[in-house]
Amino acid sequence: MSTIELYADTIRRSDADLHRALDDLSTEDLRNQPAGEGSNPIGWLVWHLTRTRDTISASIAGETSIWESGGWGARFGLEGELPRFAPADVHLFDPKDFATLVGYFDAVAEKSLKIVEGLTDADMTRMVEPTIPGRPAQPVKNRLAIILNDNIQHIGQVSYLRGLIRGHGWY
Amino acid sequence: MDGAAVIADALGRINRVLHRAMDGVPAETLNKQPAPGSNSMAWLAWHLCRVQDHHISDLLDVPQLWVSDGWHEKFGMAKDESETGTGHTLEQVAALKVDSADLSLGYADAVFERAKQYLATVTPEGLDAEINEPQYTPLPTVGVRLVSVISDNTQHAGQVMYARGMVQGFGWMNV
Repeated sequence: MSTIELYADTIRRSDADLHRALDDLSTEDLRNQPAGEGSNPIGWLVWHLTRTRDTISASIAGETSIWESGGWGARFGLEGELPRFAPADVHLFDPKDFATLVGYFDAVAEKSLKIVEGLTDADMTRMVEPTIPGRPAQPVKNRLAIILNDNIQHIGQVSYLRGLIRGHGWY
Repeated sequence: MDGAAVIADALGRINRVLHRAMDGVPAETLNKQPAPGSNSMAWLAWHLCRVQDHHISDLLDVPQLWVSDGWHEKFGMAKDESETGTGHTLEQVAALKVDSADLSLGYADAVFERAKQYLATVTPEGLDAEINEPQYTPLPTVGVRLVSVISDNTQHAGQVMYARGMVQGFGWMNV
């Protein structure tokens, strides 16, 4: 198993867990805040982890994000500069519906896996410009480590929330 | 950076997430079930460490730290290597309690430390070695097993972070 395969396998495996956690959820489930006011709903978590993966993988490939190239801003009604969803207003994020939210995730998942699988070992230490202004440039391997850690934590949170909505032992 | 180093890095990030979420947090907060039937921070951290200890020990073919270093006693549980929390009933989830964050994090640090030592010895070819578990087709490799540990453990670490928000108020990370 090469380093590239290891990243790709970990992402693929975790994405399958996400699909399992999302299976058959309603739009209402995506908006639900079972943990109460200020808590991140499933819809926001999926959007946020997808945005993170989209910007990171686009920065690695030197391409435009799927959010921009695929017109997803318009589909989510979030064109232009994106609001920062603090706990007080995270309930304002509109996941639209299951097909829109999961459609964006699937498009980014497919593209980002292609990007990862197209890398070579020599790419790992190549420096990439920051996606957030003011942050330092990082080597590709650090960017991939963020996808692994941040994204998969959020996938675990989606599973936890599904448990709160659907009851213990759903898996 | 070879595959084993990537895995060690991922496990290190998981360890740091646990410290960030749990260092200095009172036991009653760690033991609190944020909602009826839901997993507490203490249960989640314990379970992810059990999964890591179980699999790494298995790959090393040595007894788990759970039994060899007496962690089961510190948690007040049976000397049983098969007890990882998978399949726990609501009652078992509710029964798991720690007396301090030091217990949870002590076990987390011990299993991570040994995983690091193990991974320092794993070569790229070693990741492709097959594990003799004929119930699976194809046979899992060492690399596949380690990928499953990273995915499982990182998801549960994220749940610890979320559970802390539930018991202590959301936005604690940004304070």
